[in-house]
Amino acid sequence: MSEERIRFLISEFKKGNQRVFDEFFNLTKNQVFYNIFSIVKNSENSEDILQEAYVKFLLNLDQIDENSSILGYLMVISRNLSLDFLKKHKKLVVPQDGEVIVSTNDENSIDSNMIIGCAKKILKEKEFRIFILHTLNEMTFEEISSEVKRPLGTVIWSYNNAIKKIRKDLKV
Amino acid sequence: MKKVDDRKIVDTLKKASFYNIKTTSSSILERYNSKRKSYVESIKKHKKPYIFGGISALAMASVVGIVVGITFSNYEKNIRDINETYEEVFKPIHNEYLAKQLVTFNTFSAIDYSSYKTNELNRGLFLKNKYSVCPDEDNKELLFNNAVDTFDTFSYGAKSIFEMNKIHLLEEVTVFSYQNVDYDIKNSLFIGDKLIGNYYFRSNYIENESHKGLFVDSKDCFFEVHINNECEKDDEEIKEKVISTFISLNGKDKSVVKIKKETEFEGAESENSYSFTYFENKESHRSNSPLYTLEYEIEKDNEDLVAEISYKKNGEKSIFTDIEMINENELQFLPEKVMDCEGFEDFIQVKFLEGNRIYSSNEFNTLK
Repeated sequence: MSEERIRFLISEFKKGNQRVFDEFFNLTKNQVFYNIFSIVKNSENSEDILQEAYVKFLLNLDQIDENSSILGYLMVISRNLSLDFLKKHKKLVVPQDGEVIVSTNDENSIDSNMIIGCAKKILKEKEFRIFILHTLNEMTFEEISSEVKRPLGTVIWSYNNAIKKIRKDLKV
Repeated sequence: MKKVDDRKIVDTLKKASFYNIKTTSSSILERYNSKRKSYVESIKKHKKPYIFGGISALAMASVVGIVVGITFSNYEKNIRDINETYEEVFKPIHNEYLAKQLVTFNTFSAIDYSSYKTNELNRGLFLKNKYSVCPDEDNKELLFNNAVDTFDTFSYGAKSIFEMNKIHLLEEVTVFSYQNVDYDIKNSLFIGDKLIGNYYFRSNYIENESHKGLFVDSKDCFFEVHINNECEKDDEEIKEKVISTFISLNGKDKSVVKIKKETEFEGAESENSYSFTYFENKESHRSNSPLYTLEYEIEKDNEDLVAEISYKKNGEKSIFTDIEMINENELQFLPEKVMDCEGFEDFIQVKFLEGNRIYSSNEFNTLK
């Protein structure tokens, strides 16, 4: 995914060409979705927040500096909306049994869902977030360090800890 | 730091496709266009009064000015009540940053780290040798004691993090000389009604974003202080960075302490992080070879304050998270990591009682 392409699409959108939004959305939605999911841990709520994040992003387009990272801006909005959501719903939304967060078309999906389910149950919030951002969002540790505003060493340590806990729980 | 072997887990997740997001671009656009339309319509409805926008803006500026003036004049009035000789002084623009930097410095410098004294508070950091092998994770009592010994060293510092709202500075004009430098303004730094120290500076030293002065703590130790402030602002975030350097002038060790504070504001939330780096002398400061570094972060979420402290010495790191005040004299924390080894899996509470600290978890307790 190229930042250049994203900037181009946004500048086209600003000129009134709304047709480019579909490509922009498809290029960015997974990263934004998993960023939200890593905080709220529930796919249904993540979908709602996802829509809200993009609407808010579009409504504030004029204020965005096109030289800064567009995706970074979206990640900040989605993160803040996720945290606001958690504040309003102080109890964590407990995911229903069988909730699928990865595709059911894959024969390995059960194992994948076991991993995610296990991670939700046993990891601390910060560990879960870092785990999701690295594995499903495919962010580097440096990117995660910048996103969660924690030192790089702490991020790596938290990730390692998360993996150890999951492996111990699932005996893999 | 080496990553653990996560191939099996990551490969399993990667083999599965991405979650099929149900939200569509068209649904987003529909909602966006609908919101934009109602916004435009509401602007049209209010257009007429905006003809007088210029006057309104002026009026608003005056109101703000009056409110700000009242606020400051109340502040001055309170100081005058305390100190009858107070005169109108030049107020450094970095008052608030200054106070917090000084408190951070004073709090974490309270123990003489450099001399390796074997008192109660130093025990955890200096008598304990580096682990050659981490303690057995099943030996919970040992893990508890190690976590307590390490945390105890900066327990008062941790507590004072939550007392930042009790800081205030008392300003006055003064005449004070030290090492052939004359100072004409004095700030007395208080936490509650306890005097922490005095900060002197010359009013004509304030230039752009840098600041220089002299700090004298309650034990009459003198420190030359340099403070720099940077601020970045965009529409979503405001970031402030303040770096202060304290150079010991009359201490035995001629140590240098560097404190860096970063604050990010986003709406109602703010995050503060501090790092406190101790250098044994100017040479190690110049070569950036600290003896130890202590970092702490505070997150403020409406009324709740949660802190995290990490401490690094000789390449070993200890991390204490989820630090919160339970009441005025008690806090709790989670030892995630102690000297690069497993911390303790449960919350530990520490109660401060007349110079002692009582640590307890669900299974263990100890008195320091």
